[in-house]
Amino acid sequence: MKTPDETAQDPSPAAPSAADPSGRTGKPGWVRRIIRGLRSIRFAIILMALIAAASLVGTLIEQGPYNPDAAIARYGRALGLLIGLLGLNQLYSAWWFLGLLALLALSVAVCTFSGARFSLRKTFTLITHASILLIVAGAILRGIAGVDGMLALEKGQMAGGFEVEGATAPVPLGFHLRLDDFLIRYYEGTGDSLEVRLGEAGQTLTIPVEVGKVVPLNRDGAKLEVLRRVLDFKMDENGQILSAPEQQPDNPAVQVRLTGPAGESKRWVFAVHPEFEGHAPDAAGIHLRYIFRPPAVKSYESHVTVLDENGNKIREAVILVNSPLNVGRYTFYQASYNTKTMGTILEVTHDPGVPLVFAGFILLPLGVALAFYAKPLLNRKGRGDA
Amino acid sequence: MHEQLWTISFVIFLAAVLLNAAQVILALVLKKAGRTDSPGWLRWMRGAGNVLIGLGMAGLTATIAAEWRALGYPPFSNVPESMLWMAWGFCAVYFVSRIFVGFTGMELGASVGAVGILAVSSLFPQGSHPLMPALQSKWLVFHVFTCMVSYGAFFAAFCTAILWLAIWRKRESQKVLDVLAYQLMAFGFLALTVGIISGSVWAKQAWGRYWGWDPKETWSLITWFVYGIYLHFRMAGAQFGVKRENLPLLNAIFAIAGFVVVAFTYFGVSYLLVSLHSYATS
Repeated sequence: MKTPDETAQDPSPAAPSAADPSGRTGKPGWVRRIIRGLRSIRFAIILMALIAAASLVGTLIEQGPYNPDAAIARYGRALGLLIGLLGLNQLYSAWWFLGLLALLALSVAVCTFSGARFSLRKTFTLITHASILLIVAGAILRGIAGVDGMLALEKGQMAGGFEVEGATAPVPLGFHLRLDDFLIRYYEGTGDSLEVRLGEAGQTLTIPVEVGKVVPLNRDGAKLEVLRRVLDFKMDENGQILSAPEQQPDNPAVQVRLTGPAGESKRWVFAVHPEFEGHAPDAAGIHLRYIFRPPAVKSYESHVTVLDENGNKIREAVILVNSPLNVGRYTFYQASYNTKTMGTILEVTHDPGVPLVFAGFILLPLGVALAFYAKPLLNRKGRGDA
Repeated sequence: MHEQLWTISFVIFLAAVLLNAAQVILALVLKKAGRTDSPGWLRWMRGAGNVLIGLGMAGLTATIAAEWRALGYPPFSNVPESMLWMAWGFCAVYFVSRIFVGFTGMELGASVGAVGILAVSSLFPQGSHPLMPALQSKWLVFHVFTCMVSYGAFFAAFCTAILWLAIWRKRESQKVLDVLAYQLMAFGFLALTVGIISGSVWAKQAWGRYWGWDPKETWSLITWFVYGIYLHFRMAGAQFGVKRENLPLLNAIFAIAGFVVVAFTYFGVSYLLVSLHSYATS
């Protein structure tokens, strides 16, 4: 049976040492009391519980700019006003929440660097706590010296700076970035389809909707062609069908032309209203059903060229989600795109805290693993040796 | 193909439940009859129960491999797919506990747990979708795998705590269960730490920031804090006035409450809160 090492310990505040039997280290009494308090595991537990509880609240209350009327309407008068008072609508940047995080970081720092004599066993805990401080330091460095902004480019457009919230002018890049093309690639076989049933008990074909493509139906030479596709079928008073690319898919419909031995016919088939016209078979007994399904996006690609300040090409690159572009001190991420113009929207960041954060990320699981698995082994060895 | 393999795995785990339940009942009957030693046929039943759990785990491995092959990408993009990994992680944690750490006698709990995970996964909408651009990363496998293994370990700790409360509370075995629950939560905490870190690195690569207080990120941090509090509490329970003899009870409560938080992080965030991580409902 394995006995957890931790239950044998009850680390009390700094005890008198052989070097200083009185326990005094030259610091005033109140300083020692504060350090003792900050080092206390009970204090750390209380802080962690408060931070966890506050974080939980932030996920239940919508985060964003405070609108008193909307908050009161949604949460009631008391809670709506409390949200504004405590900044619960922007909880994670509220002064008291950041204060709790700072206090926890201070507690970890005092626990890490104060008091105890060096020992191999305590090193494991020190690594764990120090790694948390590295992550916090990296985050602070990013907050102080980092840059976050956006860069929107249309096809063919070149920019030498990007927009940062609160800045009066674009922040210069030190080079130029030109958008050569922005592409959205889709998975094959996804997207709209037409179900074509040949007769009451006949075969059903599933045909991808491609405007202009003629598809044989394998029945007496019958063919189907998709003539038109609209996202929201509406007619004006003159019987003209209204269509625009930015429509919402409220009433998707396709117009098809069926040709065969019986002649030619055109009809509209509606995804939301399959019972209307298109569902009833024509004289040839063909049933149509339109299944509207936006195609699955495979990738968003910004094809760019990096140029120096004189306009000379440095390199070409493709920015994808999960594949950002690093140029100089900046990193460009595929963030979004303009649905009307098909221009790209890139997020631009400079984060000097990366090395610290990454160091913390590497050390933290190492420290935890050593504390859980190496420390008990050392303790058992120590007891065995004694 | 992977649906058939899933069904086979589920049936195997069900058979393990029946066999392990039978051997537990028979062991109790023998004990009541005053028999102190374990007859050979009972040990054989226990071994067969473990073999069935191992076969079920092999079935899960085959299911995952078959689905991966069919989809052309790792099956991680929705709840049923990720729960396959959770069930696999749960079984892995069980066998590690049994073989390398020496905890035995948990066959029934392990088989019931595996059946439970698979049964719950079947309640969610099935069917896979092509991987959206945000999920096309080498971090997908590592991040989701470590998180699912941690959830499996926390679930195992939860089952152990339930067992401690319901069945073994008055027995000497409660000490073993207490230690087992601690070991499981410690391992789960380590795996979750790696999972959160890998998620942060991935978020940096995809979205340009390590941490955005997204509900999924926040709840995973809450989970990490809950277990972090538990691990510190084991050292400092006395400072809160908790008597040493009551610590195992409090630890069992932590294991149960912690898994409730895990369950909300896993399911509640995906279905009740809007998050960048709401891939599960797509």
